[in-house]
Amino acid sequence: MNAELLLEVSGLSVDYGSGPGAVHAVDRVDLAFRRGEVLGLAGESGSGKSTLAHAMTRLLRPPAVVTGGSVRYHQRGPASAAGDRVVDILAMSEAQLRRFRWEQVAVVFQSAMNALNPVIDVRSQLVDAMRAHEPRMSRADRNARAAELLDLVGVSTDRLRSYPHQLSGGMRQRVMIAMALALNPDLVIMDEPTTALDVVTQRQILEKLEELRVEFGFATVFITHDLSLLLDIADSIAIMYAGRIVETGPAKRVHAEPAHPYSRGLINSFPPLTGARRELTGIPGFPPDLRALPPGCPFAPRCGQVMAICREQYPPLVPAGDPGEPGHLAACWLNTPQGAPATEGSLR
Amino acid sequence: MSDASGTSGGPVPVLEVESLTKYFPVRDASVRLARPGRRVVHAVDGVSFTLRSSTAVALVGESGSGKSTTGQVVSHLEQATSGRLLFRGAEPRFRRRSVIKAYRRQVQMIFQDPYSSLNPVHSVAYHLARPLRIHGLAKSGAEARQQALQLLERVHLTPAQQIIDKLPHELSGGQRQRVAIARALAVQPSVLVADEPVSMLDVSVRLSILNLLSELVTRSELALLYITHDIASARYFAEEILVMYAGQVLEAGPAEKVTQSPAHPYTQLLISAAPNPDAAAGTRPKMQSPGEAPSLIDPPSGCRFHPRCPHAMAICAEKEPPAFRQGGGHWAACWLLGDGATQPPQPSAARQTPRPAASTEECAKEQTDA
Amino acid sequence: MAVLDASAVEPSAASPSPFKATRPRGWVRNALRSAKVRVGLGIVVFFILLGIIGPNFVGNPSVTGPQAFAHPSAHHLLGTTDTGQDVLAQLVDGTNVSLIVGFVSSVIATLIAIAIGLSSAFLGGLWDEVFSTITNAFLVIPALPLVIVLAGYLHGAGTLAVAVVIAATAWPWTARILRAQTLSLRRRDYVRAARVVGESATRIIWFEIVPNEIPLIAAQFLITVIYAILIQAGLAFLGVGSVTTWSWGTMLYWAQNASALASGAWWWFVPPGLCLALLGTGLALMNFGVDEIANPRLSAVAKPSRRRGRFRRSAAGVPTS
Repeated sequence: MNAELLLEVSGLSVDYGSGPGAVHAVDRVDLAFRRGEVLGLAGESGSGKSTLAHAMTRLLRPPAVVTGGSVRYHQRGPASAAGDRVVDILAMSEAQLRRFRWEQVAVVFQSAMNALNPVIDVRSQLVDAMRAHEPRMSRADRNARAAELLDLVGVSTDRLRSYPHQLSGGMRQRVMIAMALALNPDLVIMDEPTTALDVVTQRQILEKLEELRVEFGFATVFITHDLSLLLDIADSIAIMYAGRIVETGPAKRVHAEPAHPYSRGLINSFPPLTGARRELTGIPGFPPDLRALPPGCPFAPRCGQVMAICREQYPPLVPAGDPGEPGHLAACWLNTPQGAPATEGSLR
Repeated sequence: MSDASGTSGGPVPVLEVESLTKYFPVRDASVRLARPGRRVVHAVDGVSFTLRSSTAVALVGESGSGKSTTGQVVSHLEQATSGRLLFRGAEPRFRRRSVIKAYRRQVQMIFQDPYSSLNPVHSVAYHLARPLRIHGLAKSGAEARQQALQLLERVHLTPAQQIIDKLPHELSGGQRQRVAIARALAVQPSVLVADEPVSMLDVSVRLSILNLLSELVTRSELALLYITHDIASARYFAEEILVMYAGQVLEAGPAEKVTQSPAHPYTQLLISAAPNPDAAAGTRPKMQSPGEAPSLIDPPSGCRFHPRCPHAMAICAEKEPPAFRQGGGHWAACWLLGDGATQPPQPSAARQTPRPAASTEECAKEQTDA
Repeated sequence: MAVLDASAVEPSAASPSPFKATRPRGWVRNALRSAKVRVGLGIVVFFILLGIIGPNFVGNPSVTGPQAFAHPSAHHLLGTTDTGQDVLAQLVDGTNVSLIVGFVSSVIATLIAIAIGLSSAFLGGLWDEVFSTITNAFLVIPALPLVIVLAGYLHGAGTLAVAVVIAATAWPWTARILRAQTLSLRRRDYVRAARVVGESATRIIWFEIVPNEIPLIAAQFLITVIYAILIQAGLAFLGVGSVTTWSWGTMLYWAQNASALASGAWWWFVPPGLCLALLGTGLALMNFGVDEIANPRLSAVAKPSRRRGRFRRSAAGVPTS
């Protein structure tokens, strides 16, 4: 896995609406992806994770508007490092953006299985992307590539002539993934790709994705509410709450020693399949209302370890836990000198 | 699992289902033209189980397994094609409206989607008052309102005064689901069918709803049928698990046994596919069963799982396996468990039962006999 | 229980959507927020007022006069016809006919449509087949010829008879839409929940399903009004029905008869045509506004088996998570 930086999000903010009534769906988010890694973006409704994904690829529609920050993409030059450059996606022109989309970054949306055009067969949909980006490809080449792609994702090529309604949910999802990979992107963003699928199909698709990732080396941003899934498949995890990143770090680390009460609560919300059968309480309270966030930490109303300062100031994203482990950050006063030091895995 | 049926102090069987089937006629024009004659979707094909008071039973399966349809038959939203349904030992005569009404007083249901199970034009008060008025539990609007407030308290939707006049879209998913539960509880039923009650809710809210249901099972002595695709929450929540596939129950038994020592290859598949971050990294074996759920119009012959089963033998395609007991109320319908099998996943010997899909109650009975 | 109480209610603090959710009960208020609806309503109200009090301010439309084909002047604001009749008077008088026929027709047609559409969807089986066949038959038959034939039996009959006859051809479209919507709503969880709780079928239809269809019915009603007005104008233009009752269509009939176009008497045929267009536009604008409410905004969750409600799109179409 390459440790090279691929995408840097700095201070990205997205608002819905404008003026005093604007809702801060994403609030000053900083993220970094490396080539070939899997970043899991976890959060519940209202956390802003989907909005973040849309903002990164400039797919937002009014009234959503980016109000600040940059999304810098490290483009690899054709032959040598000399051709490498860094571009801000948010500042690209329409023409650049069109080329950028799908060739560099591909997106697979929520209920992508319903994103296939019901009146066009699979082969045509696969070929569409190619036609848009590589007009010089011959028809035979395109068809060959379409067959190759289907094969890649594990769908039999005699499905090329099928229509979406003739395929099962799992197959449609695989077709969407094939479409995303058609132009060999460096980054694939997947927004809840397996939510509507059976647990078995989900597992099969995830395994296939892993195979493809190893073979082609693309980075993946996996957005989901199912934290337990991410802990299984992601290299690093970022957890969002009320539009901000509250914890980020290597997946194993965040799982073993979550440094934010929300992360801890979330991890404890999944009944374990093996091991001791313990009583779980989940997270009390209600998901936040983005229009009326309390001052200070948005999680304070639900936090079991809330302190006075939590209700006054928003905690900064600071390194958490063992100082020897880089990259593990959490936005919680408990991890700073002002708060009590984080207790070691006491709530696990 | 709870002790044998009907003995002193044990949970009382409230609802029993025997060899339930539900077939839906296929209305597809292309199908009719291709093959004349009536074709059916075998949504539920021979399911038997017992629901007892103060007990939660989980029906686990994926989409297309027939679990939702089973729930609908139990709550009389659909009529069974064949098989028996016994409520407190008697078979209700569903032809008569008074019988249906009395049944509805006893058997209630909550649905999967909190966003569509409440009518957007009616307030919470209306939703709660209707069952009270229909079944004569409240004689006036004021009485109904009083009782509605109490119901809201019972499901911890407080302050009840603030919630009672709200419209569904003003409530969050978790709150709506609580209202749906309150509505179901209004008639003081003995049986509650919960069809995937938490799968559409935020993760942080799920547990509180499950804990609420658990509390109601104990406090109100409810018999709960918990339908889900998430076997982990079934283990957490229910005493007994039934695993459904393609309209049939393949394995059943105490929740711990089924999840920790699954006997049927399908159950093993489900468990290995479920996300389990607690398991040590790298110990997850690769998926062995490609392919998808079978057609319910033309289900596979013999054991319905055999096309996807890594251990399939010749007999699996020919004959449907009977239930093989694994001890302690745990059984699975798989030829691998019978005598003379080449690869028994369970080392304990199991006696062959003459009847397929025997109910868990009978397993328990025979257990005490043995 | 007031179902269409239009009072606005504030969403609770715990609502997961960052947007004010659409309010099913306050849809009238919502509709009025839209500029389109306000403009459209303004136009329609203008014509209603014109029809009610206008005739008091203009002369007799049937009185002939010495000046034929006179240009618009201070004396005849819209000029005169070939027999010296005052065009403005005819125009104002004729407003009533269009409005009455339009609204009465639509009321009758919508009532029929509700009866047939709902029964069809709810009774199902043979009834559904029968009603659907009838509906489809009426849909296929070309409306204008059918109306002409029917109107022929009402020889010289009045405005209301014409309204009834037009209604007979207007109902199928709405019936079909209502049937489709009812079939869809029948499958909704809240209808199933109502059944489980023990509601009777009648209560389910009138208290659970129909309240959710009111915006749709309103939108269809407006469309039918436009349709009826235009058909009536068409009938009058063709000389069907009474040619002595003044209506915009009748004006066009006489104008055409007298070759007004060839004579360049634009003041005779342009105003009635313009009025028809304006009234139609006003109703259409109102319809756009109501349509925005009636359409899947309210029932934003589609029906695939595992659709996550919490990821539904907010009112503005952007993902809420």
